[in-house]
Formats: sequence, C-alpha cells, structure tokens
Amino acid sequence: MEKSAAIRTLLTEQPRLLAYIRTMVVDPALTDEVFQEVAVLLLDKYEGLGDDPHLRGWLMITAKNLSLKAIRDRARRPMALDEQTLEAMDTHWQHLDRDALDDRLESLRICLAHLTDYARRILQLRYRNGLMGDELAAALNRKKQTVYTALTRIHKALAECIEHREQAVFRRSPTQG
Amino acid sequence: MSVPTDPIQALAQTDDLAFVGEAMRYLDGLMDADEVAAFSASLREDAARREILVAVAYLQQHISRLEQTADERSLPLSTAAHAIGDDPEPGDTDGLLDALLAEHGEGDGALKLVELNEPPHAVSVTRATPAPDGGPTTARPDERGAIIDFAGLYIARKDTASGGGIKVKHLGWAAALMAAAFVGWNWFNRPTPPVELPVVATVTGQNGAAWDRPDVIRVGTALRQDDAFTLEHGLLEIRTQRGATVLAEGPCEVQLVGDNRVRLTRGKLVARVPDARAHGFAVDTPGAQLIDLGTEFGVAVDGRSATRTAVFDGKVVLAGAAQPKAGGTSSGQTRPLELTPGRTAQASSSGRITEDAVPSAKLANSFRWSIDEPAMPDYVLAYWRFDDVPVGQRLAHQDGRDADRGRIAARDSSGRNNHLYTYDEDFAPWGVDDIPGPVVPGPRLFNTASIRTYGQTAGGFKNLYTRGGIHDTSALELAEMDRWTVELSVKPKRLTGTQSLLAKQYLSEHDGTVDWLPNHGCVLAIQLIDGFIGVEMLDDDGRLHTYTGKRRLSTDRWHHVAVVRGDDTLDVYVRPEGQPLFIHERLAASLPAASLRLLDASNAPPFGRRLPLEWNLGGLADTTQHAPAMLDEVRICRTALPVDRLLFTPRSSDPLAAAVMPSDGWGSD
Repeated sequence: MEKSAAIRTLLTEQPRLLAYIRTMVVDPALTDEVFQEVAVLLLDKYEGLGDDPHLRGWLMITAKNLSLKAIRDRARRPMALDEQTLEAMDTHWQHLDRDALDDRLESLRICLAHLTDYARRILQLRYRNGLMGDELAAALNRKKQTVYTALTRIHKALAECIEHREQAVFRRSPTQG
Repeated sequence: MSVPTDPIQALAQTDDLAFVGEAMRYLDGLMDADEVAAFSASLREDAARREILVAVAYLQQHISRLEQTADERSLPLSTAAHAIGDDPEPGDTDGLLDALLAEHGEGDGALKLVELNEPPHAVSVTRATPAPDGGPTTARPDERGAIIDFAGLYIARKDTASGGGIKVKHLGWAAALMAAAFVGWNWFNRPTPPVELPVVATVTGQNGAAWDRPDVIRVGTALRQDDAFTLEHGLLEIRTQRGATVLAEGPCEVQLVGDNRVRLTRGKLVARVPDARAHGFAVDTPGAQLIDLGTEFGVAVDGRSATRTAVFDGKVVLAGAAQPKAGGTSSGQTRPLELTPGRTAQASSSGRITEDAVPSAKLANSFRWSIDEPAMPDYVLAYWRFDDVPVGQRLAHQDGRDADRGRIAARDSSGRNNHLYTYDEDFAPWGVDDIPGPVVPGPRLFNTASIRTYGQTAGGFKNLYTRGGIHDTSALELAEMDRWTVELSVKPKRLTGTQSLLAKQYLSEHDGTVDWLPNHGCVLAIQLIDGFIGVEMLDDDGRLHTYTGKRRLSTDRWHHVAVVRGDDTLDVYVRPEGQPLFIHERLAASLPAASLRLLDASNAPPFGRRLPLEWNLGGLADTTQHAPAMLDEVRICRTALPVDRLLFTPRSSDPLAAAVMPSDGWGSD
C-alpha cells in the first residue's frame, strides 16, 4: 500500500478510531496518545498492509491492542469496560455504516448552529475548553447532575436533528440493524 | 449483525435517556469502579445500549472536532501529504501554500501549515489567510508553536494549557507532518475560557518564601493555570500536575502557563523532571523557551531579560523565541540548541542563542536544589574541587616556604578554609581538563578541571597538603571524627606499589625528640595498593589496621571512590566512570573499639605527645608513597554518609541510581 493512501485512510478513520479508543481508555489525553502510537506504528507497517478494508481492520485491532496496553501500563484503576464487554462492543464498531456516518458531518455542523445559546455554551465549555465533571458544572454555576442531564438532552437532540435532516435531504430509508 | 449499523439513528430513536446520560458520564471519566462495573454489565446484555455508547462516543469526537476548529480550520493531513508528496522541495513554502490553498482556499478560515525544513531541524509554522476577494494570500509566522526534531525525536512545542510534548519516531517527512497535524489538532486556537482555570501545580515546600499573592504560602496550595507570583525572597518548591518539580529562588517572577509549562520573567529556578509524563516540560523566558527531555536544569533571567541555562542531567532544548520568516528559508535563523549535562548557554531577550564555549560553572553552581538543605552541609570538613586550578599549568606553589601564609594551590569549597598548598615548583601538580564527568551529580555542581600529580614528561613527586596542625588547630583534626567519609575521584597512572591518595599524618614528641608515629605517621590513609583501594588506620596502641578492597582499579578510566567509617564498620564504594552503580565492599564489620581512639592527641604512652601534621594528597609528607594519578572532587565529611548522599551517586530518575552492587557484580581487569 502507498504511504499517501495509508495516511489518507488513517485520517478518514481518525474520528472513529478516537471514539473507539475513548470508549476503552476514557482519559482524553491517553486517547490522543494511543492514537498517535497507532499512527506511528502505521508508518512502520503500511507497506505490508493490503487494501483499504484490510488497513481499516488493522487500525481497529492495533488501536485495541494499544489501548489495552495503555490501560495496563498506566496501572489504572479498573475504570474501563471489561474485556467481554469490549468484545461485544467490537461487533458494533466493525459494522458501522461508514459512508452514512461520514455524510453526516455536514449535518452536524448545521444542527449545532440551531442549538440554543445555553446549549452552545455548554458544548463550547465541554468540547472547546475540555471541561468535564465538576469543572464543567462550576463553570456553568450549576449542579453537575443538572449539567449532565442537559448534555444528555443536547446529544439526543443533535442525533435527532441529524437523523431528521438526513431523511429530509436524502430520503434514505432507515437502515435495519 | 452483518448489515451496516447506524448508531446515530439508534441514539435519535432511543427512549433510554437515562442510559445516554450514563454513557456520557462514563466517557467523561466520572464513574467510580463499581459504577463502571455495573455499566459494563448492562452493556454486555444489551445490544441497543452498546449501539448508543458507540453513537455518543462518535458524536463527541465530531463535536470536539467542530468546536476546536470553529475559528480556524486545521489543515487536513491528507491534503498536506497530497500537496507535498513524498519528495517535497525543501523550503518551498510558497509553492506548498499555493498547492494547499488551491484545495482549501475557499471559506473564511485560515489554514495552518507546519513545515519541517530539510534537514528537519528548523520549523516554519505559518498561518495563511486567503483574501475574501481573491486577492493575495497573506501569510505570517505563527508565534505560538514550533516542532523541533532532535536525533529523531520530535518535540511539539505548544503554548496552551494542554502543554507537553509528544514523541514520534523519526520516520521521515511524512511522519513529521503527521506529528505536526496531530498536534495541530489541539494545538492552535484554543481561546482562554471565561471560567476558573484548572489547577496545574501545587506548592510542595518553601523556605523563607514570601510572595505577592494575598494568600499565605502553604504546602498544598493549589496553583491554577495563568496564576503568577513574584517571590520576594526565599525558596518555593512547586510540583506540576504532570510531575515536574520547580524550585524557584527569590527574587523571581513566575507564571504557571499550563500543567507542564511555566514562564520565568525574572530571577532563577531549577527544574527536575524525572517523571516521563512530564517530559516536554517547558520554561518560557522573555527571549527563549527551554524544553526538557527528561532532565535537571537551571534557568536564570537577568534584569535585561537575557536567559541563561545550565543542564545537569538529561537533555534540554533551548529555542529562541524568534520565529522563522514566512515563505523564507531557514538561513540566518537561530537554531534551537540541544544541551547536555555540563553545558551552559544563553539567549538574548530577542531570542538569539549562544552556547558558552567554556561552560559557566559560576552560573551552574549558583543554583539552589533543595528548600531545606544548605548549599554546603556542615558535615563537610573539606571539599577540594580543583575547578580553580590553571589548566595546563602547574598549580600555584609556595617557593619553598611554610604553608601557613603562602599561595593557595587549590581552594577548599567547604567554606572552612582548608585550602591546599604545594611546596615549590617541582612539587606542584598540574591542572588538567581530563575530568571524571562534567557534572558532580550529588550536589549538582559543574566540574571543569582536575589535577595530575605527576610531571609533564617524566615522573617526579607531586603532592598537595593542608596547613600543618602544628601551626593551627584545624577543623580537619581527626579527633572530631569518630565517623567519617572520604571521597575522591581517581584515574591512576600506574597500579603497582603502595600509593597514598590521601593521608593524615602525625609526629610524636617523646623525651624532647620529635619523630614520626609508626607507619610514616599515617593515622589514616586511603591508598592504592597494587591497584586495590586500601585503608590504613593506626590505633591508640600503635597497632596498624590495614583493609584492602578486592576489586582492582584500572588506568584507563576515572573511578569514584568513597570510604565510609560507621560506628564499627568500614565500607568502600567504587564506581568506575561509565558504570551506573557503585560497587560496594564491606571491609570491616566490627572495627576494634581502640581504633576509635587512634587520633587522640594526648601524651599517653607509648608515643608521647602527638603533633598533628597536615593532610597530604598524592603522596606523603616524607616524599614516600607517591601516587601518580589524576585526582578530582576530594571531600572529607565528619559523618558516615549513606550511599545516596555520595558525590557521584547519580541523581537521574533511574530507580537504581542510589543502589549499589555487591563487589562480585563487576569484573576486575
């Protein structure tokens, strides 16, 4: 496989890989580290990798191995999911409808713009400034539970908005899972 | 489950809002172990819930991405790789920008380009903003960051709270770009949030410190990002969240820029970064940045905002704050400098970097490393460092006069004025720059010179001595020392015969006759006996006790030697230069009690009145037992030092640093 093709695939897969790693290692900084390690390893190995699906599979397996290693190396408290659950989770990650998800980035941008000011502010603090938990609650001068209830509703609303736009714009029929 | 699934749809359609909230709490690390276990179990049983977790994680990544690039689009790596190809033209920033803008020129965002010049030491970080009306693109250097490559290690310099460096293997151009792009993701454009900033450091100690903040300095005081203080006087130790320790010495001005970064505007600080998590720790000064690669270093900023730095362990990168010009080549720029232990460098307030051709020991040795330990502990009776001797010349000598008011050959650094003298030109050792290491790791002192106790071409007796005890009562009298430690670094010229490295000699006066005590009057002698470290002690009854190590030194390298007399034990530690550990031998497990009294200056029989003579280095006062060798860092302490307090015990993060190895662990020659 060509280097440029490998890099392009890596970048296409980046959000998915980050999400995948995050569900395993939880810690955002560790998530970035693991992803970087995957990238570095890829640059060692890309020549031996086959076509795109093969590479994507390799990325997932490597991300998982490095995540588990990172958890072990950090001697973390058992804050992550157990391996049996992770196995079950893998099935979902492997069968993601990539094309459909990628198409939705643009929808997400528009849906974000439709949020109320308060919701925008929560998301900015959470995602732009990286605040979580108590820090996030303190920044908003609200109780943590209140903030997380709001975050839950916002994400659900965003998913609905995306879904709604997809159906309106592309008239896709809902995929049966 | 072979049909592609759509987690966003699952999230849109779910009624299980409680679980969505759980997923958010899990991903934000807010659950304790029990909650995680319950959460994990519920996922295992429920495919719909697993789908929702995937959806939330996925959505979070995309929102993150959009939020963090809302003001400025990050350059997609694929585009960079595509535009550059695998064989880019070094320095062709304009061409590169054109290619990039051709693909990403639309929109109102600015593009970032991180370009590594060939060879990738110099870095251009450029922001290009396309004009809305199709006019010329403006490009300017972005002063907020740089990526520096040294020996295949890429260090991403960041100036945001996230701080820290990343390491990427040296895999060529594309790898460097990837590093840049990955860093760039969180690197740029993080606006200061209008909220209370995170805690980035904690006060861990202080000594006589007074700062300009309203609160009292306490151990445990939390310092937040952007907190700044002026330390009027005293010492203040803080530890960053990532594990770097900073000891600031007043007067100084310090700001916590991030969890792995401080700014020093004025004054002095030292940083210790043993924890790998904190590697990449940085100190900003008005003209420069220092980036740690796992190390110990000191920084000083003077009244004209010039930066000076000294490295004691590991490696440090000193980078000028001046940035490369956009679109230009790297010529004429001040390159970042990599500094290793024993080196010093400076940066002007405008960011011009100069390494000191001769490292400034004065600067290096002015740093304080401990809040409670004095620079020179009071148990040190004498410490001869030989950094004041003339390299390549004979040491200052006495012209055959007594030592009591003559010219000092080598100064005592202990503050007790136990200086060394030499008799005349023929006896004078030479100053040399062959040293046992650029830094003495224990006290963290720079080392620049040692002495050679043999002639330039032929042999000849060369030695040094303290003032004689006949003339004054010196702090160096052994009567004060029932427990002691003698340390020295030695590189022998030959291994045969008995050579006295350091000895304390006495005369005796009996019935009006003055003579040597037995054994050349040596009541204590550290020797080299056929290449083995020997210790001779004369007890109060005139009995000689000789102890010899089992490991032979060699002539091709320096050895750090420490002889430690405990209550009734005698130990020798030898660390050949280049070896990580001291070799330990117990020479005596139960010394005779009488040997404690060997130094009594009474008139007791059988020797009558004792007349203390000087300490002799490199041979005895009666011109016997000459030790042709190079010698350095000779220290006498009136206590039995533990191994972790010895001069040459490494200070590195290596957990074995303070360990010793039994004597059979190191092969003799």
